[in-house]
Amino acid sequence: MIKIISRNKDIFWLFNWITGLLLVYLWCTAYLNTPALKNVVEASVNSFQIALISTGISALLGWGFAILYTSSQSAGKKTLPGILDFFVDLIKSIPQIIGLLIFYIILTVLILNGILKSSFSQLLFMSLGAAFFTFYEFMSLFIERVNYYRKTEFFDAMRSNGIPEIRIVNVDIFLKNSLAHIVHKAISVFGTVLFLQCSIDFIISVGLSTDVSLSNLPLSLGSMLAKLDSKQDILAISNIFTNPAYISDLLTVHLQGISVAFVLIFSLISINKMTSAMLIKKEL
Amino acid sequence: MKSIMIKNFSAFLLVVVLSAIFIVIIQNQYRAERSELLSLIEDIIKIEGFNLDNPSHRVMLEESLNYQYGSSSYVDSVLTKLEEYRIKRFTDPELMAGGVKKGITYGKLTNLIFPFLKFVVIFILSFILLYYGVRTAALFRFIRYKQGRSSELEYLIKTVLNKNQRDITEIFKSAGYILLKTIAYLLLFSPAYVAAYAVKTKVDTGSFLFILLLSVLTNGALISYTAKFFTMLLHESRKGYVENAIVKNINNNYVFNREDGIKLKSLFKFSKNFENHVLNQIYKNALFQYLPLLKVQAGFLITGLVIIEMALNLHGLLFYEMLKYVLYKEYDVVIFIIAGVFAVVKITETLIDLYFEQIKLKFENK
Repeated sequence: MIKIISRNKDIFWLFNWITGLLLVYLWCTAYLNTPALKNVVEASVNSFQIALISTGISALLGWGFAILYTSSQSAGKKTLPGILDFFVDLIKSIPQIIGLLIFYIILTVLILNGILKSSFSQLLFMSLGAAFFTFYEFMSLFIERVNYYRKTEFFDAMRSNGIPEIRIVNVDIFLKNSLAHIVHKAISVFGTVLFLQCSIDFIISVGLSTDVSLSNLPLSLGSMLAKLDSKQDILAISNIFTNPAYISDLLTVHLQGISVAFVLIFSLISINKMTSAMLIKKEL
Repeated sequence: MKSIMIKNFSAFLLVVVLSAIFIVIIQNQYRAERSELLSLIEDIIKIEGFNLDNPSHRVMLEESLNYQYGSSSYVDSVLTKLEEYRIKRFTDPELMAGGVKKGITYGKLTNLIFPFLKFVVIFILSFILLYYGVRTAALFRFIRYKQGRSSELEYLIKTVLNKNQRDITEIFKSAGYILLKTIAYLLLFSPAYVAAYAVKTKVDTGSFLFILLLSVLTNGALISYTAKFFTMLLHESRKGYVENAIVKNINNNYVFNREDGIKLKSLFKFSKNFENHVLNQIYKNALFQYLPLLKVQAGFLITGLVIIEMALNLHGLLFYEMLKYVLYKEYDVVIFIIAGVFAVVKITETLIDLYFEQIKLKFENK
């Protein structure tokens, strides 16, 4: 086990990430009060949950559109791929955070009108928003993989053996020959969604919380950071510039904000390290 | 070239048309809401001396209406509308004392010009800074990789465990490097709002320079794109022509400032050139592949700027103004701002596409 972890940097960072989060949890159980600890755990679980669901939806959307694109391409149709290209380009040109902000405005309206009542439906809607602005990453990957294999003899050889194109694409290209690429993309999209979702939650909680009370929206790392006590904890970091010994206070007295920020930043670092290691290891 | 222009321009045109349609719909909705609100109560609020905030005036009005119409649903509607109007005078910018007309007005547009120009300037400068930073950092990482430097942590552990040659200075140097790298990682991956709040009491977080630095250094912008460019350099270095060049005696030493090595000065120049070194070709070919990614980088940079301006409540900047209009529910102004940002993105993308096409012709010897 230790050998596998030390030889594979991607697994090493996955192990680091999980261990780091567990250590933060253990530290918090010792120094953080129970209600705050409960909030930190809930916020972390919700954020990771949204990122995970969103990555799943994003992959499904990307796969669906890629199949549509490549199958119409192989049928010699030009209009549908052209339209898809145009609209995907259009979505790509909208900065993701602005797109998410629009989704949140819609979410606010839906909550106020009593359409989205349960916490899970709100989580699902938030995930859908993030997936809408990330699915093209999967779509490009899937199209790229199909086009790559179409240029090789492998594709024509399988077709001449009577294997349907849909099976070649889904089983032989995606499942058997692109799994590492897909996993790599999924980890990368997970990181992007985590960052975007926390940022939009922070913005919403700071600036737009008049209509929808914060308690109405599922707690996330972003909204936790926007709480006044968390903000004060982060503000306290600057004290270590003049008094380095203050670090002990940061890790005990100001633990709520510090632990939330650490969970977010450490997760982003670990995810980035995992994807980089995968790129090098698998030569993607 | 023509197709690039057509593609980008048609996308922009579509967004302009859609924005215009939404703006017209929203403005019609404003008018409908206003006339619905005022239809029943317009005559009452115009009564001279009538003070809506005075409870006794309100009771008197209710009694007069009940006397005139009896306790009917009409009276209830009037009273409900009056209460709605009374509250909206404190929340609706148009009804507040000295309030301004809701929606897009000439005054609002002129007020948005300066924030918009400021956004464009910050975007251009941070884009250039990021482009420079990504190339320099990735090349530095690549050179260190080629120098065969192992992980500093591994080196530290080895030095500490080596009982025969335990060099205290080396241990401190290595530990210091790891500490600095950890702090740098925490900063580079931290969302801008966390980094800004962490130094808020010591630094003016609203200054132009600070926003510029935040947009480049935080939100993972520099580190993510450095990793991408580094991978491209690595891929390129594995190609056959590199080995061919080495066989033909082109410099392949990655030690800094040696005659056959890498000049440190060349690494930090904006336009990088490593003459007579195999890195020159690796770099140029990797850069050619990186150029299309600049479009994604531009979008990500704008996302970062939006986060910075909104999360830090930086008054007078474009996205703070946008957030304000979201709060006031003046969505037509919000759409107008988004269309403006979209135009900036599209212009950037067009310029990158055109530049890429030009370089491509050179690469393909056309």
